[in-house]
Amino acid sequence: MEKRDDKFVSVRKGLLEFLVLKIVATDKVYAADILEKLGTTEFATQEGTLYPLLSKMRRDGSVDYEWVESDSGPPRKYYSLTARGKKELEGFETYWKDITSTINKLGK
Amino acid sequence: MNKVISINLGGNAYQVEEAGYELLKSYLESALSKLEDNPDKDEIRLDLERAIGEKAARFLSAHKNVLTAVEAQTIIDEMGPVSDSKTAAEEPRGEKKPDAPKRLYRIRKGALISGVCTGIAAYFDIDVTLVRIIFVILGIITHGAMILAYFIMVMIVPKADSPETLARATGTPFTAQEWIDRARSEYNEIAARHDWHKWEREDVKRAKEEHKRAREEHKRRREEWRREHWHETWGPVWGLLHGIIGLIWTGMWIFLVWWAYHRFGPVHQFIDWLVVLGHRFIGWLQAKF
Repeated sequence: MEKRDDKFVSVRKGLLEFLVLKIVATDKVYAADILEKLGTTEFATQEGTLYPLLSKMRRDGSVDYEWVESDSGPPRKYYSLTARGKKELEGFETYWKDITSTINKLGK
Repeated sequence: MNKVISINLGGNAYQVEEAGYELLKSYLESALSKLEDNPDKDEIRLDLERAIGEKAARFLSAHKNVLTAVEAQTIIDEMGPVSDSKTAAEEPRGEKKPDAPKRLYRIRKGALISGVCTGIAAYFDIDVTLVRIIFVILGIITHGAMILAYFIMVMIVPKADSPETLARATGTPFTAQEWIDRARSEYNEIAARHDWHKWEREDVKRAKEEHKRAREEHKRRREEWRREHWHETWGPVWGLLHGIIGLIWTGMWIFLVWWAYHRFGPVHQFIDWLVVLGHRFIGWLQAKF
């Protein structure tokens, strides 16, 4: 992963939660899937960051998990979006559109 | 040939080399300290343990059932430092992410008596010599009451005896690598202490030699540290100054205690009380054995 400007670190951090929401919205996923999907983007992250984030999102009620037996080892937590999470994601997407149009309009 | 330790990661047993165990242990301990105020910290710990276990499975097979220290290190690097998501989410709103809160500890490293001054120096990020000078001046101004305050601090201020508390005492933000370095030095220290106990049982001479070597190694490392941290030309001057102040410091204490004992009631009583306590302890020892 190429090094981005450090000024964008906080932007990426703030967006991470919504990207996780987006990924969880597509399918039931477990932590390693999320990491893999993010791994090829500028939002690549590690377990040390993801697990506390997932637990916070579960506490907020936007995601939930269930245990699924796995063939290759111990059971895994599969995360899915709750109704509240869906609303949050929709809210984020509208907000994101607003922000990008604001950015595009300003200074032109 | 390395010692192997069995560990439980999220409900499954794994075998790890001792050094690898130390690495994983300090990683998880640092994770827990970061998550101290998180209501889900136990669950996150189990998540992290399971993730470590899954990563460990990659290195293990029917014909290789022990995780090496190098592999443990690889896993820790992959896991990355643990950060509480609460701070991560709040950051874009312009709130400054707070460092691990600094706390007052006694720091034995570089201490002359019990580490109160080194602890205070680390807490306020000032030179320890300055703290000592202030202590001595206060000792004289307050007619020795400072001695009482000092001993009370010795009793109530906790000692920074783990990498975690040391990090808090000095307020240095720790990275995984730093943790590993500290865990290693701590491990060496424990090993050295272990040698101490061996004196009683085995080959006294060899243990003494080992201890001597460890001490020289420690001295050498400290010298190295000094050379790195102090300006080269001022290094010896500083060293000399610190030495002189150290001597004055110790002398001042002896004088202050002696002087306050004769001049100041509470100190007199306190020291008498200590003596009585000592006598009682000796009496108790005699009664017991």
